[in-house]
Amino acid sequence: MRMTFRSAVLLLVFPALSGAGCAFGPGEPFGTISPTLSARVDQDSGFTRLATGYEVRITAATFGVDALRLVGTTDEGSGQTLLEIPAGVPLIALSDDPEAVGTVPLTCDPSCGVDRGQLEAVQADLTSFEVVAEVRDSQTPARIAAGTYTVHFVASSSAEGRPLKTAVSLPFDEQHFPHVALDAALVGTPQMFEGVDFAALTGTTLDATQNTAARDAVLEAFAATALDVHTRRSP
Amino acid sequence: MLCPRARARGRWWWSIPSACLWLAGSALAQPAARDREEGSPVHRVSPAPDAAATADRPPSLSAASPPTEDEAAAAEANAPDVAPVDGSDPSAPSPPNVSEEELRALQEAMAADAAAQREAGATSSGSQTTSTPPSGFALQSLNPDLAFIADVAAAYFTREPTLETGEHDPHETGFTLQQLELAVGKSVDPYFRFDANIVFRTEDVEVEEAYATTLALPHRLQLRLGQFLTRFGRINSTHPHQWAFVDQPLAIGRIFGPEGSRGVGVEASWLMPLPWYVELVASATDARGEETARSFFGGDEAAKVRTPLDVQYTGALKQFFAVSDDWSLLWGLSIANGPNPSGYRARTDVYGTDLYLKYRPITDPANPTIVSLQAEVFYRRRQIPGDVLQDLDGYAELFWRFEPRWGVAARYELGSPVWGLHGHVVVDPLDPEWTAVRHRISTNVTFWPTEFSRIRLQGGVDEPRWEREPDWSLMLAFEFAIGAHGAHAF
Repeated sequence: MRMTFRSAVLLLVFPALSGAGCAFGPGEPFGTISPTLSARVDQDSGFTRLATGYEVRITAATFGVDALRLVGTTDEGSGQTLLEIPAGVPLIALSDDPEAVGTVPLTCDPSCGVDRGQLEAVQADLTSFEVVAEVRDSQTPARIAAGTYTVHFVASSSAEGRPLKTAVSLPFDEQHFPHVALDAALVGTPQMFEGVDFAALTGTTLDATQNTAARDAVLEAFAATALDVHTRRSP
Repeated sequence: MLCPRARARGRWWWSIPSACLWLAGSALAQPAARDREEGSPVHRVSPAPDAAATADRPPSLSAASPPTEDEAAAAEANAPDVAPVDGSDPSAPSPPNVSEEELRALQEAMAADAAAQREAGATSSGSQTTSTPPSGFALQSLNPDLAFIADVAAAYFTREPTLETGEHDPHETGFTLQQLELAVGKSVDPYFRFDANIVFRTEDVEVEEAYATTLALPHRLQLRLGQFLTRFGRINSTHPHQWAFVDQPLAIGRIFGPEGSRGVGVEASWLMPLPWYVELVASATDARGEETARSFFGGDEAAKVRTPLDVQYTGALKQFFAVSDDWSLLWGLSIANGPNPSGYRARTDVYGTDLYLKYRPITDPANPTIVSLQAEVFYRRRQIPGDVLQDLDGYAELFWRFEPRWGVAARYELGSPVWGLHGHVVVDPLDPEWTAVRHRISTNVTFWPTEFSRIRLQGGVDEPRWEREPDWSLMLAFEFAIGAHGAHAF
């Protein structure tokens, strides 16, 4: 095998050159979450008729959670919290001012990195819930006079919060791109009033002591369906 | 140059192919000779016997010294003989048409060979080397070279648990069987040689190395396949009996693991056609192993090999300079690159350079002096999420053999804390306690009763700055070797 001196010298320096750039920049975790949180109300224009015969139209809504918790399986077992993302202030879901409704990007401290594992659910605790709805009865004779009802709930601590949960299947490992956009939304619908017999209420405020059962029914129905999560991977 | 066994049976034509194999084997199994012609040290398989064997062997004190790898390779190259045992193989080829002139020429050649062999035998009988009869040689060649090497130490430490990082190091006050190494080696055929190092310890048995080495590749190329110690730097690829100290340098254990950089894989080496000795080595090995690849996948059970990036790559450039008849210098550059389990496609790089400067006044045969300086520096970079962990480690050891059976050595070691991209000291997930610089100084005196035994008294002080007090140690180590064990590379 013939080779020139120059070629040999190039071959000598090649390993040193090729070695550069391998671990130069900072590494990245198996998952890097870019989370956002929004709140909205999904309803038809006008009133929505419930199975109970009452018709509901939500006119204002504000929802809030303490944090988004990404729960799944890691090397340490199942049911582990992969990441907890602080959520901050309550979000306006519906308002007369459309600009007040929006999506808020969330930030993590120190980072939104996720270790190797399998995301199985996103959880949160509902800490703030405020809804104003117009209600009327479709039956004849009407059981109630048309009016505006309000539901107000604020948890003084996370422990008092109502748990929200939605299933998500998302692996974080060497085989999948680590960057994940996670868009979470707190969604209210008129159907969360399905469990309320408005004719049996005392007054129009569900926060009244006599209406606790009705308020709990609303919160429970909201918690069952409210958390909506969509994910997108990118390189 | 015909096969003696075939010649004895009178089936000389059978020996033609085997003679060709024998010739090929002789030529290719002796790269040492090839390399010497080129004025350079030797390639991996048949390295030039380092008379000091990494600076810890006396000169020949016994006439029955084990064969060097040159001798072994030359001897074993005679082994291949594909002739049938009984000569009645029905599939044996029929005699070719040979003219009387050709037959006469062949007979003359056979006679010349026989005369040469007799002459060689007479010459060697004057020396201590034993000339094995051809018939016995064939039988002997069936057995591999076997050697047992036992390393036993008594040690005292002022603090336990100790911070020794080597698997074979004494780890507590008392007696330690560092290892009982069984070294096995033999040419498989003209194309491959097989070597294995099996280590017995008190509690387990471990296949430390088991690999085949090609003997017949063209263009100065050579391959190793199997499990082997990578050739990163100078000391990593060696075994405890080659070390000038009882324990392993801290850097090896810290970076690669207690057993050093090792794995199953393949290695290619190329002796470059340059005016001086330059060898280029590249290997790909399994990046998993808590004790052999801790800076890479290490003991991560979830780590799998899914892409070519999931193995450890090691490259080395080794250059030898014969400064004078008495002075020689070996300088190496190494790099290891592979995945680590801390994050998505996280990588680890280890850069190293090694130096071995040796003075041995061969121009004055009566002078037993050997002085050598060996030093290695390691720079490690590990990607973790959001940062790059970096550290610097190294050692330098000076050996002086002042009498044929006596030598002294001193070693200084340094291990830095781990710092991140912004220069601040950060906690290393692998060694969370290593938050400050660490120094260690060791000295020893060694006595070799013969080439096959060694007694070494070593003292040391280890000063990890994150501890309040230094750790003092005293070790008395014994080594006993039996069997045939080839000389080691320079």
